[in-house]
Amino acid sequence: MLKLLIPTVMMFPMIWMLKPKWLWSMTTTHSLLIASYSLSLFKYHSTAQWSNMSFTMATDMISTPLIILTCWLLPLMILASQNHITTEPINRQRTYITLLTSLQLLLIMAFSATEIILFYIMFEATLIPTLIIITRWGNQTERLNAGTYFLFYTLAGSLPLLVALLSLYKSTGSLSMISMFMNNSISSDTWTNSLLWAACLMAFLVKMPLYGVHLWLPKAHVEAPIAGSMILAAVLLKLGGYGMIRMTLILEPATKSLAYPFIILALWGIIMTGSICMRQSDMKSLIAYSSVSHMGLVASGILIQTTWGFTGAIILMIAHGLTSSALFCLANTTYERTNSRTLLLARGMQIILPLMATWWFIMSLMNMALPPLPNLMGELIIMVSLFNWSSWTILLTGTGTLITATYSLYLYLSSQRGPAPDNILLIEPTHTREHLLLILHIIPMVMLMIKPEFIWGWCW
Amino acid sequence: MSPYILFVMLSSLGLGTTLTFTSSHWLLAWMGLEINTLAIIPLMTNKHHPRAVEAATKYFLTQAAAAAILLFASIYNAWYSGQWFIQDMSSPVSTLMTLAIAIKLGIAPMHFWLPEVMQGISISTGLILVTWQKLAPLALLMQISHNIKPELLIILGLMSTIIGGWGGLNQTQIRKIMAYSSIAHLGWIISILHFMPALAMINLFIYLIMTITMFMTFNLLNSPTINTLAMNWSKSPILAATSALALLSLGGLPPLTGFMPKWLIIQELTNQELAPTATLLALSALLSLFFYLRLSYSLSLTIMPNTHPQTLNWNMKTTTPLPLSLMMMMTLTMLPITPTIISLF
Amino acid sequence: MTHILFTISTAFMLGLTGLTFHRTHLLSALLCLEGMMLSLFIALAMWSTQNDMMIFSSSPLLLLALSACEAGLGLSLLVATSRTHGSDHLQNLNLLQC
Repeated sequence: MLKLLIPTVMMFPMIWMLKPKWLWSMTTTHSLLIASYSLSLFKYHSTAQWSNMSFTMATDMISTPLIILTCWLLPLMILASQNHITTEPINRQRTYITLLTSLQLLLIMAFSATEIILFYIMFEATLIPTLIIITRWGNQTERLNAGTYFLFYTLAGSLPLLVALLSLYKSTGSLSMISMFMNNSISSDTWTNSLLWAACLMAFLVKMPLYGVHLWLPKAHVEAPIAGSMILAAVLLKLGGYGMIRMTLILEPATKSLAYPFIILALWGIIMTGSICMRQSDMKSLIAYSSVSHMGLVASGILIQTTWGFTGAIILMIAHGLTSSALFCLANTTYERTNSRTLLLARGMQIILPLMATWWFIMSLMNMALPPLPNLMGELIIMVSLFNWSSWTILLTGTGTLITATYSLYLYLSSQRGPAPDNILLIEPTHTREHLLLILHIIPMVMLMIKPEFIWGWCW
Repeated sequence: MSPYILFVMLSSLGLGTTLTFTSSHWLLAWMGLEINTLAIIPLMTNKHHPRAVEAATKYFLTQAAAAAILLFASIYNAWYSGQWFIQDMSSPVSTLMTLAIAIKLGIAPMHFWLPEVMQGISISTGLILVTWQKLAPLALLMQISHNIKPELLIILGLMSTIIGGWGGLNQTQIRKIMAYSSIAHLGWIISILHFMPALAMINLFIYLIMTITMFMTFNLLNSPTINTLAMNWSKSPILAATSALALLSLGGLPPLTGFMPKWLIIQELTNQELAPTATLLALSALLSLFFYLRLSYSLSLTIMPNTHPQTLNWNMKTTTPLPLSLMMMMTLTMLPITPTIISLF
Repeated sequence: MTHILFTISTAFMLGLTGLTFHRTHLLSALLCLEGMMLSLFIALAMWSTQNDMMIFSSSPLLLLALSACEAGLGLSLLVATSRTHGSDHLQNLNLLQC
C-alpha cells in the first residue's frame, strides 16, 4: 500500500513549497497520477481474497473499488473548488488542499486496514479534516451547527463501537479482518449479545446514514463547500457501508433475527427521504436526501447477508459515489453563478447554459438508474436479493424507484426547463474546467458499464 | 513579587510535593501537602486584587480542611492498626482518606471550589494549580489505591467526567472551562486507578502534556474569554490552527494524542467486565468535547470576513516559544508511539 | 472504640461541622479549622503516649508547628479579605461565582 501512501504523503511538502501560480495545476496533476496508479490495485495477485498484503494493510475485492474511488475523487475535488478558493490568501489555499489530501491519506488507510482498530481510528480520524472543511470553508453561520451535528452524531454512534470492539477483542483475542470470519461469537440469545451486535453496527448505520439518524447529513451537505460535499457523499458515507460489510462477518448468527428493525427502517427511509426530496426547495439538500435514500438500499442489501446483497451494495456504493459527487458539482456550478441554492431562483438554465443542461440530464438519469448504468445494476441486484428474502419488499423498493425517478425528473425539469427568469440572464458562461470535471465523473461510469466485474466484490 | 521571595515560594512548592512523593509515613505526607498549600497561597495573591484574594481564601479553606480530614483518617488508622505506612491502609478508613484526597484534587462531588479558584488567579498560576498541585494528592491516592473499593473510585470517576463535561457547557470564561476540563480528566484517571495504576499514570502524563500546551497557548494569546479568542488567528495563525487541533486532542478525538489514554482505559475497563461503565465514560467525554469544539470554533474555525471590532494588544508577542512548539507536537502526534509510551510506565 | 478516640473524633467532627455549616464569618471558619487541628494534636499526643512510642513524641509538635503556620496564613488571608471585601463575611466572597 506504500505505493499509494507515500505519493500521497509527498503531496504535503509539494503543496507548501510550490509557487502560487503552479499550486492548483501541479496538485491536480499529482493527484491524477496517484489516481491512475491506484488502478494497479485491480490486479489481484493471489487467488485468495487478499492481495497487496503487508503488516496491517491489504486490499481485496471489497476495498479496492473504494480505494480507487477515493484516489479518483481528490483531483476532482481540487478541480471543483478551484474557482471559489483561489480568491483567498495563498496560505489558506494551501491549507485547504492539505486538508483534502489528508482526507485521502486517512481514507486509503481506513479502506486498506486489516486490523479493525486501525480501521476504527482512521474512520474517526476522517472526522477532523471534514469538520474543518465544513466549519471553516462553509458559507453560512449555520455551518457551525452542521459541524457540531456531524461530529456528535458520528461520535455518539462510534464510541459504543469502540467498547464493543474491545470486548470482542477480549473474547476472541484478535480483531484481524483476515481471520475474523472464523470467530462467529455473537448469537442473539442474551441481551448482552444483542447490545453488542447493535453497538457493532450502530456507528456505521449512523455514518451511512440510516433513516432516523440521518439528520446530520443534509445539514452537513448544505453547509459544506463543494469539495466537502463531494467527498462526504462519495466516500465518507461509504465508510459506513464498508464497515458494515466487514463487521457483519463476525455477527453472523445474530444478524438474522436482530436486523429486522434496521432493514425496515432502511426500506422505509427510502420512501420517506424520497418523498422529502420531492418537496425540497434547496438543491443541495435534495441531493443529500437522495443520498440517504440510496444508502438505505445499500444498508438493507448488506443487512440481509447474501452474496448478491453485498455485491449490489458495493456496486451501488461506487455508482452512487460518482453520481452524487457529480450532482453536487452541478449544483455548485449553479450556485457559483446565481449565488443561491434555491431551486425556485434557478429555472430555465437550459437556455442560458445548454451544455450544462446536458450534464444535468445525464446526471439525473444516472441518479434515477437508467438501464446500462452501474446504478441500475446495483439497485436491481439489491432489489432482487431483497425480493428473494421477502417478496413484500418489492412494494417498498418498487415505490422507492418510482419516487427516485420522480424527484430526479423534478430536479432536472425545475432547474433546466421552462422560460428563464430575468434575474439570472447575466451569468457567466461555463468553464472548460467544469466540463472536464463532469466528464471525469462520467468516464468511470461508462468504463464500469463495459467491465462491471471490477465492482462486483466477492462475486468476481 | 521580588525574585528572592518567588524563588523561596517556588522551591517550597516543589519541596512540599517532593516530600509527599518520597514519604512512606502519613504524617510526613501530610506535612508535604501543608507546605505545598502554604507555598502556593502567596503565589495566588501575587496580584493583589479582590478576586485573587477571594480565590486564595477559598483555596486555603478547602485545602486546609481536606488536609485536616486526611490527617484525621491517618490517625484513626494508626489508632487501630498501630502503624503509619501509607501502603497499608485498612479499608473503612481508606474511604474517608479517598474523600479527603478527592476534595484536595477537586473530584466531582467535591469540585465546586476548583472553577472559582481558577477564575480568580492568573493563567500561569492556574497552570500550577491544575498540574503540579494535582501530583501530590494523586501520588497518595495511587499508593492506597489497592485498598480502596473499586466501586467508590468508579462512582467518583463517572461523576467527575459527567459533571466536568456538564459544568463546562455553560461557561464562557476560558479558565473556568479549563477547570471543568481538568475535573473531567481526573475522572478518567481515578476510574482506572484501582485496576491499573500504571495506566492512570499514563493518563496523568498525557493530561499534563495537553493541559500545559493549552495553558501556554492561552497565556501567549492573552485571552480570558471565548469572545477574545476570535481575534487570535491574526496574531499567530499557525498557533491558532494547531491549538484548535490541540483542543480536539484534549477532547480525545483520534488520531490525536488525547485518544490514547481513553482507548487504553476503555480497553482495561472492558477487560474487567465493566463495559457499561466504559460506554458511559466514553459518552460523557462527548459532553466535554462539546465545549472544546466551541473553543476551537471561535479560536480558528470561524474567521470574520470583515475587520473585527476588537483591538490588538500592542505588545503581543508574535513568535511562538520553543517549549510551546514542543508540547504542541507532543499533544498532537503521540498516538502512533503508544507502545513505546506503554513500555515506559 | 476507646473513650479517648471517641472524644477526639467528636471534637474533630464538631469542628468540621462548624466549618461546613456555620458560614458567616471567615474568623469562625478559621477557629473551627484550628479546633480541628488541636483535636488532632491531642489525638497524636495520646496515641504516642498510649502506645509508649517515644520516637513519635515529637510528632505532635511538628503538627502544631505546621498548624500554627496554617493559622497564620489564614489570619493573613483574613486581613487581606477584609481589606479587599470590606468585611470578613463569607457571603461577601461571591465575585467568582458564575
